[in-house]
Amino acid sequence: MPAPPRLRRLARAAVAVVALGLVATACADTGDSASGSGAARDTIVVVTGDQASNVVRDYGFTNGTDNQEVTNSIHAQLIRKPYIAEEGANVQVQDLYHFEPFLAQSYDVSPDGKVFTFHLRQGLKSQQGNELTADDVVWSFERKFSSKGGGMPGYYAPMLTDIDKQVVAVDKYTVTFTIDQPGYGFTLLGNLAENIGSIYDSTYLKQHATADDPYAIQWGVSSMMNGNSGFGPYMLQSVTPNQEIVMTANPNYVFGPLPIKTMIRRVVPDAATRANMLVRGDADVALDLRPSDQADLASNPDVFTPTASSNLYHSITLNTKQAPFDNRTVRQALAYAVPYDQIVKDVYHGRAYAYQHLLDDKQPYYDESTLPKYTYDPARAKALLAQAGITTPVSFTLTVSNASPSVQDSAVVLASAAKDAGFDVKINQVPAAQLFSDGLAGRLQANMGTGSAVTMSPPYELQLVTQPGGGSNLSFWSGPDYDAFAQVMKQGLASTDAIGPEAGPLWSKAEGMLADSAANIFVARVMSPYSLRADVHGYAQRTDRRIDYAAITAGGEQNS
Amino acid sequence: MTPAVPTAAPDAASLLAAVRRQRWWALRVLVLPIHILVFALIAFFLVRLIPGDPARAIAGPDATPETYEAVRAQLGLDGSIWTQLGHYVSGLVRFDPGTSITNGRPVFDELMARLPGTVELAVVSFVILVLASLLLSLVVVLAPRSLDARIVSGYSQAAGAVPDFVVGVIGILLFYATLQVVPAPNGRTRPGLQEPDPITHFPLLDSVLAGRFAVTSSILSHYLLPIVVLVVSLAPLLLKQLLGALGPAAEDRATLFRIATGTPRRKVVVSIYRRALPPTIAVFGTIFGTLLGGTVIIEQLFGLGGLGTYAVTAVAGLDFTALQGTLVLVAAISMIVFLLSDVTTMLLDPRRRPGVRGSGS
Amino acid sequence: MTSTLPPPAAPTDTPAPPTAARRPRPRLGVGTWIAAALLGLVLLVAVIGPLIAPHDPTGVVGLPSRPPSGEHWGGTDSTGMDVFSRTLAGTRIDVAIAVFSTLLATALGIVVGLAVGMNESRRGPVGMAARGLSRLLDLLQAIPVVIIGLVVVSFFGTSTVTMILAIAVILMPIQARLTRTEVLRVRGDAYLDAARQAGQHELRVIVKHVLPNSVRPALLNVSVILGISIVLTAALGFLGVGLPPPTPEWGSMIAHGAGDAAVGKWWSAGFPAAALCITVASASVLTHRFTVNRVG
Repeated sequence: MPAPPRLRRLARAAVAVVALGLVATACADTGDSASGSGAARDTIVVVTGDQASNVVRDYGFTNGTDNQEVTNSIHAQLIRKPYIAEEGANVQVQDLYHFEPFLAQSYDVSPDGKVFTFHLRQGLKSQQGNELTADDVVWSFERKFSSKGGGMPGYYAPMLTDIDKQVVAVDKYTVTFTIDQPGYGFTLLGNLAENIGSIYDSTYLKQHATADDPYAIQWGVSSMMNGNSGFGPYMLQSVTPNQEIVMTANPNYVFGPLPIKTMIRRVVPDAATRANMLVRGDADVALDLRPSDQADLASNPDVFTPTASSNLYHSITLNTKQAPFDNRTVRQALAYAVPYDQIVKDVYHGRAYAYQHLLDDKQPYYDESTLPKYTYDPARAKALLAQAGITTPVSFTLTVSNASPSVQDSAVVLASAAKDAGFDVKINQVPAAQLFSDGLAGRLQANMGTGSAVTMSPPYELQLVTQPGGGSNLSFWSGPDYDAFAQVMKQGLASTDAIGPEAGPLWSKAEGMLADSAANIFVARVMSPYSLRADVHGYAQRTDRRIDYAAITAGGEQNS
Repeated sequence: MTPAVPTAAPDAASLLAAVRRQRWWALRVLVLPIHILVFALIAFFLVRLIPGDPARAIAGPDATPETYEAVRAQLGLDGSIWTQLGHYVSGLVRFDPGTSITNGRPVFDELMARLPGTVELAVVSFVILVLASLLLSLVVVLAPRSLDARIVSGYSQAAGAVPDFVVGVIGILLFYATLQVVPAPNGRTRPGLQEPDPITHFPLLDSVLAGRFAVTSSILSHYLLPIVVLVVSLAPLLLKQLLGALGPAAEDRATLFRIATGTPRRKVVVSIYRRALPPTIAVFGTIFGTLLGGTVIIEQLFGLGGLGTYAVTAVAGLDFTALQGTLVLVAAISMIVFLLSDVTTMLLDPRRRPGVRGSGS
Repeated sequence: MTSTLPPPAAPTDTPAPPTAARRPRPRLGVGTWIAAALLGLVLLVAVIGPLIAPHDPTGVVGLPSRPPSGEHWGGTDSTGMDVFSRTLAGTRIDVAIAVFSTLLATALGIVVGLAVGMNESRRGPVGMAARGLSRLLDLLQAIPVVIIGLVVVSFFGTSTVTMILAIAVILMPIQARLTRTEVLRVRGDAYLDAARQAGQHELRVIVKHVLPNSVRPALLNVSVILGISIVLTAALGFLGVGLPPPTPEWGSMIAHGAGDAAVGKWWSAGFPAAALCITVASASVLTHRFTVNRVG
C-alpha cells in the first residue's frame, strides 16, 4: 500500500529528532578534562587497563599494574632507594645499592653485620592519625608472617624466619632486625625498601581485629575502603568497581604536602584507547601501553615517554624434566634459535633492549665474561642438534599468557625464525593464572613471559628462578650442573657482604652456569610501558617500574 | 480432582476454578526458583571444568608447599568436590554465593555493586532498540516498495553479520579518536565529576533523582556510543523477526478488508501491528538476554566495568566462586525476563497458554 | 553479536497464516545473485585459499604494521605477517569451524530434540529424564553464549577441533528446542497411529514419519547457526580465548588488530572483518530468500 506522506514525514522527523538529541547530549561532554594549558594542576587523571581488586597485600598474591600502584601509594616503608641519574636515560632511576631513610630517620648496622637498628621518625602520623611507633613495625611483620596467602615468608626466606626473635622493639621509636648471616643483610634491606616491607598502622588495624582474625586481614579485604591503613602518600577516597578509584593526598605524609592532591584512576581496558586519550588530553598518565603505540607517540610533542633501563626481563623457561628440553644441548640449540634483535626491534619497537642474562650489569664487581654468547644463529642451532643426534624438526609447545600482546607477538616471531633453526614451535595461549599453575605442576614444555625480581639482590634474583620448590621455578633445573651451581650460591651467601668484592665474582660465576644450562633463556629487558602528558613532571622510575606519584607535578612548562 | 460434592459451598468450587484458571502463570512462577537452583548446579560443575588451580595463583610465586596447602584450605578448596558443593548450595539458598577467591570479598556484594549499571545500560539500550526497530519496520509497512524500505529490509538481512565488537571499534575510531564528537570511552562520567550517593543504585536514575543534571548529561553522553553500537548491531535481529511477522499481517484478510472499506490508514497500520506483535514478544525476551551478553564486550570497549567484565576477570583469574555467582545471577535475570515475556504473550494471546492444544514450548 | 542466541525461527512461532498462499513470491533479485556469487567465492577460497595466498600465512614475511602495498596487498600485522594471505587462509579455518560445528550442532540437536519430544509425556523414569532434559535445554538458553563460550572453551582448550566441539555444544540446544517443538506438533498426528497399528516398530515410525516432518525448522535455522558460529568464534578470539597465534582465524585476527585499528592502522583487523561480514551477510541473505520462497 502506498505510504501516506504525512505518516512518512512523521517517521522521518522522529528519526531526525532522536539523532539530533543524542548528538547534542554527547557534545556536552567532549571538552578535554585533563591537560589544561600553563597553570599547575593538583588533579591528575590516570588511565589503567585493569583495576586493583585487593589492597591488602597480606591476603593474597595480587598481580596487575593497578594493584601495585595503588598499594604502593597507600604504603610507605622504613627505607627507600634514592633516585639518581642514569646515562642514556631521560628520567631518574633508583639506585639499587644504597638506601635512604623513609619512615625511619636513620638506621645503623652492628659491626658484625647482623643487627640492623632503625630509628623511627617521631611524631609521624598515619592516614588515620595514629603515631608511628616501633610496635607498628613489629606488628606489621607479625601480620605479614601470620597470613598464608601473602607468601611473605617466602620473600623473606632465609633472612627472617622467626619474627618474635628477629624483629624487636627496643623502645618506642627504635626497632632492630637481627639476621643469622651478614651475607643476608643487603637482601633484607632491599626487601624492606619494597612494598613487601610496608609498615601498617597497628593501632587502627587492631581496632578491627577479632579472635578469628587477629591481624584484621579478613576485615581489610571485606571492603576496599578499609585499605587506608598505612603511612604512604595517598589514600583511597572512593572506589567504583571495575571503573574508577579516586585517591587523595595523605595530609600526614612524611614528605608532604604533595603537589598532586587528587588522583583519578580510570579503567580503560583497551590499550590503544588509552594511548588515544593521552594524545587527546583526556588523561595525564597512561599505563600499560603497547610498545608500538609508545613508538608512535615519540613524535608527539604533547606526550612524554620515559626511557631508562628496567628490571623487567622477557624470558623463555624450558622444562628440564620433559622432552625435548630434558637435554641440555637441545636447550642450548634453542638459545641459538631465538631472534633476539628482531624481537627487540619489531615487537618492542625499541621499547626493549638486548639483555641476555638475569643480573644487573651495573652491580658492583659484576663480570660479564662468564656468559655464553647466545645470538640468533640457525646454522649453529642445527649443528648442535645434529651433534647430539636429534632428528629435526624438534617440535614443542610454547605456552604464553593470553593477556600480554607483546609476548604473543614475540612468540609468533620466534616460531617463524626458529623454523630455520630446526624447531617446530606450536603456540598455546592460556589465562595467566592457568599458565602459572600448569607451569608449577610441570605440565608445560616451555613458556615465555616477562618477569622481574621484587628485590634486586643478586642471590635473591638467582634463587628466584632456580630454588627447588620455588614458585617462580618452572624449569625444575636439577642434576650435577645444578648441584655445582648451588654450591657456588652457598659460598656467596656465606660471604660477609652480598655486594662485596668476595661475593660479586661468585654471583657472576653462578649466573654463567645458569646461562650455560639454558634452562632459562633471557631474551631482552623491557622498558616502562607508561607514557605521560608532556606537562607532567617529576617522573622517576622505581625498580618495580611503578610510578612514584609523590614525585609528580602537573602543569607549568613542558618536559624536554 | 475430586468431583464437586453437591452440598459443598459454591465458594470453594469457584475458588478452585479460579486457582485452576491462574495455573498457567502461577506454576511457571513457582518452578522458577527450582530452575535457578538446577542451573546453579550446572554452573558449579561447568566452572570446575576450567583447567588451572586458583590456589596456586593466590599463593603467589614464592609459596612453599605448606603455604599452598594452607591457601587451599583458606579458600575452601581443600575438601572433596561434594563438600564444596554442599557449602555452595547451602550458601545459595541463603542468597550467599560465597567469597571471591581472588580478593576475599563477598561475591554477593561484588555482584550487587555491578548489577545496576549493567542492567541500566541494557534496559536503556533495549528500549531504544525496540523503538528503533518499530520505527524502521514502519518504513517498510508504510511503503514496502520504496527505496527506504529496501534499505531497511536489506539491513535486517544483515542480522548477525556485523559483530558488535567490530561496530564498537569502528565507532571509537571514528567518533572519538577522529571526529571527537563523543567523550572518551573511559566509563560513565567525566573524570572528577562525583556521582551522587546511591538512592536506587541505578546511576542514571540516581543522578536525575538527586537533581544532579550535570551528572545526568555526562552519563548520557558517555552512554551514547555504547548504546548506538548495541542498537546498530542488534537491531537487524529484532527487525528480521518483526518484518517476518508484519508481512503476513499486512496481507491478512482482516487488513485487506479494512483497506477495502476505506478505514483511515493510521487505523490500518495500528491493526497490522496489533496482529503482528504477540508472536514477536517472545523474541523481545531473547533479545534482552542477548543484550545482556552483548554488554560483556561493550563494557570492555568503553570502560563500563560491570557484570561482563567481572565474569571475564573471573575466568582469567580462575575465580570459581565469582564466576559461578555471576553465571547464576545472569541466568536468573534471563529466566525472569523470559518468564515475563512468556506471560505477556499468554496474556495477549490465550491460545498460547499451556493446556491449550498445540502448546509445548 | 557475540552473544546472540537467535530468536527461535519465525516459522515455529507463527503458525502459517491461512492467507499466506496468496502472498506474491518475491523475485530472485540482483541482491540474491550477488550474495550467491559472494558465498560461492568464499567457499572457493576456503578450498583453494592457502594455495593462492601470495605469502606464508603463518610466518613473518615483512616488517610489522606496514600499510597495504603492491607487495603486501593487505599490509602486514603487528608481527609482520601478511594480512591478505592470512585472510585467505583463514577462510578455510573459519568456514570449517562454522560448517562442522553447525552440522554437529544440528545433528545432535535433532537427535536430542526427537528424543525429548517423543518421550516427554511418558510416565516413568524415561519421561522424567526427557522432561528434565527439556527444561535443561531451556535453562542453557538463559545464559549469553559468550559467557558459556568462555567457560567451555577454557575447558576444551583451543585448537580447531576443540573449537568446533565447543561451539557445537553451545549451539546444540537451539536446534534441539526447534526440533522438539516441531515433534510435539507432529506427535499426535493420526498417521503415526496408523503406522503403529500397521505393526511398524516405534523406532521405524520415528525415523520414517516423525523425523522427516519435524526437522524443517532446524534445517532452515542452519544459516543462522552458521552465522552465530562464525561470529562466536570471533568474539571468543576478541576476549582472548580464541585460536592461538599464528593460526589465521578471522576472529583472532580482528581481536589482535583491533588495537591497531583504534590508532588508525585499520588493515590488520579490516580485511578479516570484511571477510567475516561478507560471509555471514551473504549466507543470511540467501537463507532469507530460501526461507521466504519455501515457507508458507
